[in-house]
Order: sequence, then C-alpha cells, then structure tokens
Amino acid sequence: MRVQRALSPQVIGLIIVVIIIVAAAAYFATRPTGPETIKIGFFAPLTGPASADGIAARTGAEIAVEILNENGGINGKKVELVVYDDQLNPDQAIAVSQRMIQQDKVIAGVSGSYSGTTLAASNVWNDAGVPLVVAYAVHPDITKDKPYVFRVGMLAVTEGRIAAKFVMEELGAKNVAILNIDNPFGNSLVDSFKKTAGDRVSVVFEAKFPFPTDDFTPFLNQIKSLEDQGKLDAILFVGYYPHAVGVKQARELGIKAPIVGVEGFDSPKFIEIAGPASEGVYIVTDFDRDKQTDMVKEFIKRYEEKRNIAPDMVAASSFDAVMVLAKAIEKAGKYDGKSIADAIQSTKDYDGVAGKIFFFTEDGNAVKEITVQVIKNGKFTRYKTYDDPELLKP
Amino acid sequence: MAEIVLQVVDGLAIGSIYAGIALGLTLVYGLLRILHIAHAGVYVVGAYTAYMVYGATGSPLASMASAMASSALLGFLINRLFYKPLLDQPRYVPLMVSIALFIIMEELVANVFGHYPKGFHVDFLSRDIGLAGATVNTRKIVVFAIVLAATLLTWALTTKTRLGVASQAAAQDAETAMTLGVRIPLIIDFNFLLGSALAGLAGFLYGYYYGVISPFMGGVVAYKGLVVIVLGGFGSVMGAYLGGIILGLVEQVMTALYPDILPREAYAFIALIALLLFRPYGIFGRREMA
Repeated sequence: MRVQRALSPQVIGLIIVVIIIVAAAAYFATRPTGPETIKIGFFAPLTGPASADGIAARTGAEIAVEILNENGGINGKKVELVVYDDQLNPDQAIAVSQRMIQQDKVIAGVSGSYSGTTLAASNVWNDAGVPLVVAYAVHPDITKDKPYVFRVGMLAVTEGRIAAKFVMEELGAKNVAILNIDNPFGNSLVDSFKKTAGDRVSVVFEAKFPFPTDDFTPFLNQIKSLEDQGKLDAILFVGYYPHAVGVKQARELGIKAPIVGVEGFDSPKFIEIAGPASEGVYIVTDFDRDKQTDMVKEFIKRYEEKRNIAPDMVAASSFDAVMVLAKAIEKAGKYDGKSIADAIQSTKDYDGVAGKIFFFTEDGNAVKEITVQVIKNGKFTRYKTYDDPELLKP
Repeated sequence: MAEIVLQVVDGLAIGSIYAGIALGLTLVYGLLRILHIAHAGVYVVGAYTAYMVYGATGSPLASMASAMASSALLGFLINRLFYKPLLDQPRYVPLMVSIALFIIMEELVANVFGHYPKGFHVDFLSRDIGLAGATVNTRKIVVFAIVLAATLLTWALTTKTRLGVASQAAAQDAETAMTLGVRIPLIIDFNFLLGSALAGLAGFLYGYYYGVISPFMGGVVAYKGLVVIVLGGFGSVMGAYLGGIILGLVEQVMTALYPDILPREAYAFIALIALLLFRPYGIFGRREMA
C-alpha cells in the first residue's frame, strides 16, 4: 500500500516560510542593538616637539582599551580606538575631530592633547553632540558651557591652591620665588597660588618664561643672591619636564631652598634631565605611584612593558579618560551622545589611576584627589594626599 | 657684583654655543648663498652622536670628536646629494629642500632615539671655582674657551691657507675665481666639512653645557643661527663669532633685567629687524659696492 504523503509540497513550503520568519524575528529580537564595535576617537600630538607627550597619552589610552577588550569589551562589544595626530595644531585638531565624527562615526572621543588644540576641537564635538573626555588639557574654557565636554584632569586653579597650602603648611615658607611658564596654565596656576596664599606669603621674585627655555640662569642668579641675603624659603617652579634643566642649574648655583613643581614635572624624564639635582623636589600632581590599587599596579606594569619607561601623568590621565568614558557607556547602555554624556556627568567615586574622581561639576570638571610627590632616590614617592572635595573643587 | 659676574659668564657660554652654530652657517652662506636651515639638523645629529659615543666610551673627547666627524660627513652628503644638483635653480628651491631636510632629520632622530629629551651628563672639567667674588662652574668657561679656539682655527684656515684664500675668492666672485684656476667644487666640499664639524661641536657643547639633548633642540637655533650671521655680516667668520657672543650676552642681560617685557627668544628677532633697517650688511659686514 502506498503510504500517503502526510504533507503536500505547499504545506512544506509554508512551514519553511514560517520557520524563516520566526527565526528572523527571533534573530532581530535578540540581536544586540547599536554598533557592532564601539569606536572611540582619540587625538594627540604624535609628531613634532610635543610628540613625546602625545605618544605617552596614546599609550595610556591603548592600555585602557586593551584591558577593556580582555574583559569582554563594553556591554559585550569590542572597543576600537580611532587615533589621529593633531600635530599640536588647532586647525588640524578641528579637522581630525570632524573626520572622526563624520567619517569614522565614533560614538565619543578622548583628547590626549594640550589646551590650544583641545579648546579648538571641543566646539566641534560639543556642536555635534558627541561626548569628548579631555585627559589633561587645563584651559578652563574647554569645558565651560559645553554639556558634551568633560575633563578628568586637574584644573590649574586647584593645583595652584594645593601648591599654596603645601608651601605654607608643610614647608612653612614665607618668602617664595616664582618661576612660571607663560601660558594660560602657568598664569592661572600662579594667580590661584597667590590668591590662596594672600599676604601670608611674600613673593620675593617672579619671572615668566616661554616654553622653549633651556636657560634659567638669568633668573636663578638673582634668586641666588636673594637666598644669600636670607630672603628665600622656597621656589615655586611651574613648568614642564624639559625645564628640569632649571632645577639642575639652580642646584649647581648652590641654591638650597626647596623647589615645588607641578604636574608638568610629572615624568621620569624630569628626573633623568635634572639628574641628582632632582632629589627632594616636590611636585603637585594627580598620579600617585604609591597607590596600591590593582589598577595602578596593572597600569604601571603594562606601560613599562610597552614603552620601557615609567608612565607619567599624561599617560595616566589618558587611561582614566578612556575608562571614565567606558564606564559611562556601559552604564548608559545606549549609544547616543545625550545618554553617554548624562552617564559621564553622573560618575561617582571612580578610583582611577590618576587620583580618585569624586564627581563632576556642572561644568564637566572632575573633582579629584591630588597628591604631592617628592623625589627620593631617583623616584617619585608619595608625600601627602589631599582628598577633601571642598578643597579640591575648581 | 657677584650676580653681574654670573650673568656675564652665562651669557658668554650661551653666546659661544650660538657662535659655534653660526660659524658653520656663515661658511656655507658665504659660498653658496643658500640659507642652510638643515644645518640645525646636522647640529642635532652631532649632539646625538656625542650622546651615544659618550654612553659607549665614557670619554668626553671621543664624544666631541665623533660628533664633529658625523656632522661633517652628514653636511658633506647633504651638499653632494641635495644642494649640488640644485645650484642652477633659484635660491628658494634649495631653501625649501633645506627646510624639508631639517624636519625629516628631526623626525628621524625622534623615531630612532625616542621623542623625549635625553639627560646627557658629561663628566668633564665640571667643578666650582671662585671668580671675582662669585662661584662659577668651570664647564661654562670650558665651553667659551673651546669655541674661541675653534673660531681662531677656522679664521686661520680661511684666511691663512691657500684653500681658505681660494674659498674667499670664490665667495666674492665665483666666476672670476674659476677662470683663475680655483676648483670651486673642492672648496664647497671643504666648507661643508668644516662648517658641519663646527655644528657637531656645538651640538656636543650644548649637551655638555645643559646636560640634556632633544630631537627638537635644533628648532630655536635654526633661526637664531640666521640672526647671528646677519648680525655678523654674511660670510664673515669673526662676525659670526662676535654676533653669537653679543646675542648671548644681550639675551642674558635683558632677560635678567626685564623678565616680564619680552621672552628671551624675542631679542634675536628685535636685533634682526633693527639690523635689516639700519645696517643690512651686518654690524661687522662691509657695505658692498653695488
């Protein structure tokens, strides 16, 4: 007897169609929404005179991405860093920012660059409604009235305030000589120093110098005679690590007063250039190498493996910028600019590599821990940590 | 008083480094009329050679000699490979090539040796002595003495030897000199070797003096060297020397007296503008007959 076919070809066809529709529906229902990979834009000066910092910043950001991806990415998506060289040129910073937003379609960006370039680029990101997290650029206007721009680094105002407290309370200094780099960072830091110190400190000598300065002797010779007359207790030296030459020159002249530097000196290169003269120099910074958290240890280890040099503040804050952003994207669970920006704004107590971030101000500036480090046996070591949020507000 | 001594000593030392760079530049300019910006790159390469050789041997003299040798060779090659084929082009062509070469050399050094500055602490005649009531590091005097000696030697080579006299003749009127049997290409090679060796010397001295070198240390001297040779009158050895010394002293004293008015780097340009307005042939140059 012939067995009757249970199903006609039409029925089989219908079943197949139904299966396809159900499978497709199931696929679309469970398919992750949003982009396949999470693209984060990054710009820094990778060529030219500022390239050492730019490359350090990039390395810091890359380590953050590496760690994120090893731990499953953000919400299960792989993170990709889209890197551009801004050549420390504001026009170039604008051009690469537009490119990242329009062509590369990054969902957020990180600036590993200085103030001039970052300030120029910040408008592009803000106008496009794509969040930008700034690592270490200090200019106040970068974040001002820009709801999509945030900064994880310190503001010069806060740094100056802590420097003044340190000089008065820890060093007990009354007569202070000030050498400062003539840029918005140096000037606003020194203004804040003076405002905090008021008449409790008298500034016995003050000079500004441009970035390409390798000779501080015109000033130091005068500071030396002040010290010889007993009119010098400390020197506030606001510069960057190449200006370590000035510390060497000061000690060579026989100036003995303690030298207090700032985050710009926060680089192993500072110690290399000043040599033994760097011993005992204090710096106000946010990167505390003695902090025994897993993240700090892991960061230092990976950085040294990659670059054969100890990491600096620039690298540490670029790492934090990527991490703060990643945490915010994860928390938002959505990939539009507004959701991510809201999530960054609501960050609380992120314990990063460059100091704990307590919260972000309305202007998008991190209120964070600051440390004073002292150079001992050729190494930055913790001297004191300032962690009172009231004191650290910009 | 002690402070004045310190300022003058520092001004002389820095001026000596400027002079060392400008000497080489003026030798090239006098002959080829090329603004040899790449000279600053030759200076950077000299400094890095000095750094490497000092690291390997620990000998300051070997470090200095190797800087001079490598720079001499590099300058010689730049002329042979880039300037020589372009001599019949308008002068802005080799100038553009020169600027490009300078940038390429900076980035090459940065990529090979790292973008960071390097601490370069040379242990050589560096101790404190008393000088007119002030304590001065002998290193500053050594820098001054070495450049003075190099200048006198260069001056003797360019005025007292046959080659030097021929070189002067070529600088004044190349065609006539050639018809009189002066071998111009030989003289050009000679000037590049000598001038570039001096740039290497200056590169070594910069590291020795400041204790640091950087791939981008040529940026400032690229234009200061030009200012100095304008100050001294193009092509003049003694003029370049004195121009360097004067610039060093003026910068030092003016920066000490008026730190807030102008940065150190500005004085070179002020000097340049003033000279171009009032003495375009330089302080020590002679007005050429038209």
